[in-house]
Formats: sequence, structure tokens, C-alpha cells
Amino acid sequence: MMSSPNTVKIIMIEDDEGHARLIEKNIRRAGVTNEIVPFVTGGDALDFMLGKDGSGEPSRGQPILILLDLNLPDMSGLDILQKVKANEHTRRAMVIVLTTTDDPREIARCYDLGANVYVSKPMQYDKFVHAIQQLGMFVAVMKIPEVE
Amino acid sequence: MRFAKRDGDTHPISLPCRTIRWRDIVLSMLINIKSIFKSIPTILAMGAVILLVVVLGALYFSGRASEEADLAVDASRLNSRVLRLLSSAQDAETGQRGYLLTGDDRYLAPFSASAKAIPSEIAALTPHLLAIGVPQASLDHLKRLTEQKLSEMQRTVDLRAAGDPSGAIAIVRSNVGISLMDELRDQIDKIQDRGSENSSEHIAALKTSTTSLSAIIAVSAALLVALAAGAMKLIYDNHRQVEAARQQLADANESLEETVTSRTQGLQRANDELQAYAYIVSHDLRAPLVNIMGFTEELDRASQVFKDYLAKHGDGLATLEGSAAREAVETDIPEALGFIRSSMRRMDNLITQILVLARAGNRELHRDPIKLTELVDDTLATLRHRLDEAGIEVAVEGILPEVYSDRLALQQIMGNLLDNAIKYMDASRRGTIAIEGRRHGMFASVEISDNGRGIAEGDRERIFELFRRSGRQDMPGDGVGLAHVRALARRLGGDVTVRSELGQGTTFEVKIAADLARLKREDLK
Repeated sequence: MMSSPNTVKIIMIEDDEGHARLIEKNIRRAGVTNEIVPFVTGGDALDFMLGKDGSGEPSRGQPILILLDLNLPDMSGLDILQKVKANEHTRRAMVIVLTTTDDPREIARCYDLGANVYVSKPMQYDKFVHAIQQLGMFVAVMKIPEVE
Repeated sequence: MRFAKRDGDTHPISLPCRTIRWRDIVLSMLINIKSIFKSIPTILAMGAVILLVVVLGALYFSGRASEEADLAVDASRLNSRVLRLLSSAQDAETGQRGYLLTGDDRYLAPFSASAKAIPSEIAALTPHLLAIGVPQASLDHLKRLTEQKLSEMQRTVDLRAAGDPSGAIAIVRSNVGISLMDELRDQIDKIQDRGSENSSEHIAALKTSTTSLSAIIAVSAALLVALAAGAMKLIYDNHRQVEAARQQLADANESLEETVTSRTQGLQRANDELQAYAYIVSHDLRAPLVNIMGFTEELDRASQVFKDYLAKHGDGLATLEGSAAREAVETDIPEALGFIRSSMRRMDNLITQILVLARAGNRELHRDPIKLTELVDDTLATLRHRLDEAGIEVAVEGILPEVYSDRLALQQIMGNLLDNAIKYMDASRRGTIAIEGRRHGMFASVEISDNGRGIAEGDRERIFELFRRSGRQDMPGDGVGLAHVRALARRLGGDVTVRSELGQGTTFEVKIAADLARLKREDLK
């Protein structure tokens, strides 16, 4: 499905394909039809959002929601978070951190860096599904502001 | 469980080689001290002997000198007495001549006095003169001469008194008196010579004595100077040895400190690595679990679809395959999924526990003043319901020590140990838990004793390993509590140990550093 420039684009940065598939399935199940762009490495995702030159031009006027895993093969999710929040075109992007740890220090660090929501991937699948579907509803209703 | 063991293994390695070096240093210091005690007193004793010899010699020779001086003075005094004897005789003669010339009795007074004094003076002088070696013969001669002279003069005086001056003068003219007088003078000269000789003998002896005294003082002074030089050399050498030993000790101390620091850092690094390892492993183990769990649910969902389909359209499939499909969908698949789920949960639980331990090892410790009595009371309050339910009696004996340590870690330690005590009571008797504590040196310890089921001897070390449990497995638990307690106690600068009698009860002793600040800085971060 093609999305118009003003609908929210979901950037999913997740190196585990299984996780990516499960997340996508559950988001779709929740009735969210927004475009989901999956990335396996942080570098590719940053290139996509900020451009090769890191200017953020590709994301100008584009509302973005980022689903971010913290443990990536090439860089830490925290670095991505920092870079996204430092760029004027992406700094208002909604960032949802999805990770397997529930370390309170890591959670605090994510919020400090500007993450909007922190979801730990729970073992109890229904909880996970619930969290993802909540997210879907959230995406459906939100209108992410973008600078002109 | 691995790092708990590693920790215990690596600690004592540094000790044996250190001990030997310390003993060497202490020994060499003892030898130095011994040599000080050996030679300094010798020198002091020698000095004392020399001083004693000097004093005794000085006393002896000065005694001798004063004796000789006295004797010399006596000798010259004797000589002058002998000389006075001559002048007495001359006085007597002068008196006699005056009387003979004038007949005046006034001239008789000196004559009579001398005539009377001379014999007694000779008698008095005799022993002294004999003592200085004047021969008896010459004394007898002197006596005789004086007697003859005196009697000659007496005769003339008597004649003059009887009115016969010419008779008296005739006696004088006979020159007997003069020759007697000359002889007397000669004799007295001889005696005086002997006296002078005697006097000079004593003066010579006096000189010898003083010379000896000077010599002895000079030699002793030289000896004392030599001894003092020796002593100074010795003291200097000793000082140098002590200084060298001190330097050695300081060096050893420094290298010891370096070794301790580097070992502590090594341990710290190893520990950090293990913590990071545990963290990463558990973290990375979790990712596939999420998948297995997620896709298990997907499978469940899919099989539900099948089940629904079969329920709706499967009535016609009364064949063998149909019932097998129904069985697979209704029984086999849910059973398989059930086992997968419960195993997943168990695995997740284990990973969570490893994460908790890894996190506890990473957590920054805070040093707070803590009254252990209050902390234990608080912990007991949270367990009150279970204690009452099981009818367990708890006695805190006396006042537990006060420490400066990490509150959360201590709460977890006490909570785990008390929880175990409650969990593993023996149902056949009334449970009791006794808690006591004490402070010893830099450590504080708390003992928690129960009369529960106890721990078999072979299990007493195993129970501290991660995921290991002992005895009947009739209570929920995953074998993490004691591993956690041990890890925490070690982080607080101590350890936890167990004494137990199977079927009688168990005592856990937690020992921690009384003041966390005394631990190495690296531990506090």
C-alpha cells in the first residue's frame, strides 16, 4: 500500500526477523494499515531517515513512528535514538523502544534520550500482543506533528 | 553459579609467597637487633672496666704520691730538728762563754735550758732517725759527743760558780770543747746528709707515682677514645642496617600494595566480565525465546483455525483419517504447545534470575548507617503472616551490630535467609528461628539458626550454587536465593557460610565488612 506524505510511516529497526514478523503481524491484526519499513541494521535505518549526508532531508514533512530494538548488530539503539532526536526533521518522531531487557537503568536512559514509550518484549505472548495492539491503536489515532 | 566458584578460587592465591617474604624481613630485622644487643654492651662493659682501672690506679698512685710527699716533708722536718740540735748545743756554748766571762747568772739560763733539752731531744729523735736508716752507732756517737760536750761545759760552769774562773778558762783553753763541738758538727752533718738523701728518695718516689698516674690516665683516655670510636662505628653500622631493613620493608610494603591493587583490579575485571557475560548471555538467550513463544502462539492460533474448521465441516469426516486429524488438532497439538509453553516459562524464569543476579552484581552499593536489629525486624514484619501461619517462633537475641553498608543488599540477604528458614521447616515439630549477631574487628556477622529439616553434608556447598537445591523438592523455588545471598555477602566484603545437621536444623552465618568504606575503592565504584 502506498502512503500519502502525511500519513505516519512506521520505521521498524529490528535485527531479529522473527520479532519483526511477530510485531508486524500483530500491528496488522490491530487494524493498522500504515506503511511499515523494516530495517535489520541501525545504519540502514539512519540512512533512510536522515539521508546519506545525515541532513534529515528525506524525512522533511514526513511523520515518523520508530519501533526501535536496543540490541542491534552494528550499533546500539541508544545511538540511533540520540541521532534521531538531534536532527531537526526527525526530532519530533515518535520513538517506541521494544527490547528484551527490563533493566530499570536502561529504561531510564531511553526516556532521558527522548523515547516516548518503552515496551519490554514479554515472554507471555498475550501481554506482548496486547502491548503491540495498544501501539496499533495509538498509531491509528495519533497525528504526529512535523515542522514545516 | 560459575562466577560464585571462581570468586572463591582466586582469592587466596596471593597469600603463600607473600608470607615467605615477610618472614625473611622480620628475621633479618631480628638478627640486626640481636647484633646491637651483642656488641654495644660489650663496649660498655669494656669502657666500665677501663674506667674502674683508671679510678683504682688513680686512687693507688695518688695515695702513694701523698704518702711519699708526707714522708719527704717529714724527712726535711727531721733534718731541721737535727740542725736545731746543733744550734741548741751552740746556744749552750754561747751561754757558757758568757757566764764564764761575766759570772752573770743571766747567761746561765740558755745554757741550762739547752743542756736539759738536748738529751731528751736526742732520745725523741732516735727512733725517727733509725727509721730513715741512720745507723745506731752514729746515733750513739752523737749521744756520747753531746754528753761529753755538755759535761765539759758543765764542769767549766761549776768551776766558775765555785769561784775558780781561771780553772774554767783553762779547761776552755784546753780546746777539748772546740774539738768536741767540731766533732758534733761533723756528726750532725752526716746525719743530715742521710736525712736529705732520704728526703730526695721520697721525692723521687713521688715523682714516679705522679708519672705513673699520668701514664695510666693517658693510656685509659686513649683506650676510651678507641672504644668510643668503635661504639660509634657500630652504632653507625647498625643504623645503616636498620635503615636498609626499613627501606626493604617499605619496598616490600609498596610492592605488596601494588600486588594487592593489581590483583584486586584483576579480580574486579574478571568479575565485571562475568557480570557482562551473564547479562549478555541472558539477554541474547531471551531474543530467540520471544520468537519461540510468539510463533508457538501463532501455531496455536493456526491450529485453532483448523479446529474451528473441523468443528464446522468435519461432521462428514467420520473416517479414520478424520478422527486422527481431530485428535491431532484437539489433543496432540494443544499438548505439545502446552509443554513448549511451560518449558519456555521455566527457561524464561531461569534467564530472569540470571539477569537479577547479574544486575545485583552491577548495582552500585550505597554506604548507609544501618542498625541490623531494625533491618531484621522490618524483614520479619514482611514475613509476619507466613510466620504466624506456620506457628514459627522467632527470637532475636540481644542487639545486633550497627554497620555502614548497603541497605538493599542486606534486606535481600536477610529476606532470602529468613524465607528459606520458614520454607524448609520440619512439619513434625514447632518451628523456631534464632537470630544473633556480633561485631568482631572489621567485620559484623549475623547468625540465623532454625530447627528445620537441615541440609545433608554433601549439599552444604552445593546449595550456594546457582539453580541447585537440596533435599526434598516439595517447595517452590528455583535455586537462586542462596547464590544471590552469597554473591551479595561477598560484595559487602564478607561471605555466607552454613552449619547444619540433617534433621536437626541449620545455621547460616552472614559475615560482612562492618564499614563498606574500608573495602577497596574499586568495589564501591
